[in-house]
Amino acid sequence: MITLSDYLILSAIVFCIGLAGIFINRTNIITLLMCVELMLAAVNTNFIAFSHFMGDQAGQIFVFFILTVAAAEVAIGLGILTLVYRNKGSISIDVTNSLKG
Amino acid sequence: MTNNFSFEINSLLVALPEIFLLSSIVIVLIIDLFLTSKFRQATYYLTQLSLMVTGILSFNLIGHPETVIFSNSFILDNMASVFKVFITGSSMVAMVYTRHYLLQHSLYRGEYFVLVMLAVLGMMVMVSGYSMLTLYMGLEILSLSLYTLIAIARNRSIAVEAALKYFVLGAIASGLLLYGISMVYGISGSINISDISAFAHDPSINSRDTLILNFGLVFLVIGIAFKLGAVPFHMWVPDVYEGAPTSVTMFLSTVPKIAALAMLVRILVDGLGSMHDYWSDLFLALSLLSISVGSVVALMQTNIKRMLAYSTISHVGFIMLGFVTGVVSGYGAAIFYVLVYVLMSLAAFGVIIILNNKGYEADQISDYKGLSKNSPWFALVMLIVMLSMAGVPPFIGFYSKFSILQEVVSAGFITVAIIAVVFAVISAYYYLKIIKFMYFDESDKDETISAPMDIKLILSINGSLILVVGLFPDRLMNISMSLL
Amino acid sequence: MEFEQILFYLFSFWFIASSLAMILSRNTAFSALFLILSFFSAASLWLLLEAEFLAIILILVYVGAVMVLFLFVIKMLDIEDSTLRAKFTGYLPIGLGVAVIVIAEMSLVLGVDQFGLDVVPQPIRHASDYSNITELAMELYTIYVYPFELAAVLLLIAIIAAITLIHRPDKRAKKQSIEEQVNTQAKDRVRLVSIAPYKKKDEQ
Repeated sequence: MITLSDYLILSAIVFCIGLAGIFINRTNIITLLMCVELMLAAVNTNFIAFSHFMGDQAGQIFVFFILTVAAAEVAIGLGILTLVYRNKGSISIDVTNSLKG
Repeated sequence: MTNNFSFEINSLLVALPEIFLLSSIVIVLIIDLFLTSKFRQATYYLTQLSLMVTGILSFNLIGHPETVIFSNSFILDNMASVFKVFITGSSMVAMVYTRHYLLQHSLYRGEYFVLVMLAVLGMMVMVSGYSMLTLYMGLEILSLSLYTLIAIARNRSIAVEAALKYFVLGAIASGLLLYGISMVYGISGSINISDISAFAHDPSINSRDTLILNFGLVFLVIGIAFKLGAVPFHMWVPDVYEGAPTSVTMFLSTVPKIAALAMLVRILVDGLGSMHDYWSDLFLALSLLSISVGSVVALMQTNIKRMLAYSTISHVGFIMLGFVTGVVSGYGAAIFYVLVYVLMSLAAFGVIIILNNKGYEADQISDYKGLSKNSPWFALVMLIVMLSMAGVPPFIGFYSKFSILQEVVSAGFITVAIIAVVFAVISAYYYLKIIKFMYFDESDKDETISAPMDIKLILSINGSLILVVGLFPDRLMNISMSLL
Repeated sequence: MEFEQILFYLFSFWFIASSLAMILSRNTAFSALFLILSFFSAASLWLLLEAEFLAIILILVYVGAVMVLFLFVIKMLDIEDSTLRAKFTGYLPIGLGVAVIVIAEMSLVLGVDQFGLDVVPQPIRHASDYSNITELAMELYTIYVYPFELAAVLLLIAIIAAITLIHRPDKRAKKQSIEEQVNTQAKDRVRLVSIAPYKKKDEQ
């Protein structure tokens, strides 16, 4: 049988892949955003698994809102990204390092 | 299915400030569309009016018995009401400076004010949030408004880059926070703070439950530390402070700190207060790192906005130190510190905005050379702010640091207090450096700085409050202590 | 092995494999496509967990709208991959190494001891006439009405933000601004400059 543990470990793996992706692709903003989406997908799987095994709807409701927020977030994020491209002509920025001191 | 939902219009009255603010946001948004350029100042006045009424409505709710509505997702207690009054009040002050800045930099747009009001709404939701879901929604409403506000100077490369950086790191922080929330939900079976608290305080809690709660707690603390800008999750702070238009920097460095503190209290104190032994260690490490890195790195800055960013980081360290103590008076001292910090920071950025002349950003520290001769009054206010931030008595910044250290010592962390004092003394150096520039150096340009009357008035009140409240800190201190 | 288990491992494999492919792919458009595959696998897993509504929403909203937006931006901005990937290989071993260690540690916490079947028993499957959507809707519009309103505010912000940031008034349109014309004064149009008379030296 599939245990709750299986689902949780699966989402932990995907969550860590998302985190690792952020560090590997630190200058490619679009891939960075996609890594964040991957992390959210892992979190959502967590919530749904808990919700299923506990027979409680709250987790599914939470996922519903996370999906809404993430969609709004992506709209704004890609908007800012377009602005950066208009200003700089490229979207390669290292977000994890302070540029100066 | 059991449906225990009840709905009464009267019960919504405790959410009146939020409801009013949301309605006025929508109205202002629509009115702004139809304003011709002659009447565009109307947006500003409507915004101030809406914020003021929201503040008054919140003020009237102070002393209201603790009420929970919307099926455990909204709480109204004294902390919520008092924080809402401070949030709206300091936003109004920030708006006075903001209008001046926006007009000078031709950034004046109706959307700016609407987004600020939306951010205020998000903060009020956070302050009143009583379930993980509402706290998260409030946080996102706040963050999304802030990302947009930074990027609103869309032709400034540095501003949009700052917005992008803030956005990406903010999204990662949200992801970590959500992972923590999912773990807490999974083990406690609820997303309501009251249920989580009941679960965590249950004496029959077993080692498995504690382990998983801890596991979630680590992610929660990291997420909150990211949002607060504590070291080592601070890398966005200096860039965002420097890159954002100064009016936005002023707003995002002050008011959201109150909301973040409220969220911290709701999750970690109200919800997981019984787990204090576990999260206080994390907080201790984060706060010591923040105080030390913030104090030392600020020494090397030549840009005053970056310098204030690092100074904020060290202030955040002090705030978190208040939570390490694990006693109610320690949390009260942290609340006092935040309110004081907001007061000081508003005045500091106010002076910076006034020195911005016609599209020119006075953000180099060397721009402050000889300020005392050109405009002695602004220099005096800046002097008060800098001395207060450095923690010199009798200014209010002294009492905020003092009360935190007092709590830390009485909780038995004497070494920690000594380290904090040492770094506070180091940080005094760069505050004094600005004072030296203002009073003992010659200016290379000779121009008197003029500012409209409303700004002068607000800045004077703001500056004198730092002194007056510093002389009589008891009242504000009593308010802060009574909130928990 | 039961059929459900086979499905679980199949979808999990695709979920993890496509996630890895996404972060390692050198082409941003391919990354986006791999992410779509990840979302499909996640949606299938959610179906196994009886979250039918969310699984469908993930496909409709995420794959249908959000990922298409991503692909649209990738193609619109025409990013050159070579500069983006300059630092890529340097961080790869550290990134993956740390990830493997963290996964191992997290698996210990989330292992069978804490969340095995003897701790959290298998829930009873719902009957075939069970409607996930009705169940969610009943709660969403009653207990969670406050967050629901907040979600509306959030979408309002997204609309305002997208328009504020991106919308540019069409510069090609030449419109007459009567107000500006009427308010124009002579000093805006003509500037009198006094120039001192002088003689060139070589003419002397």
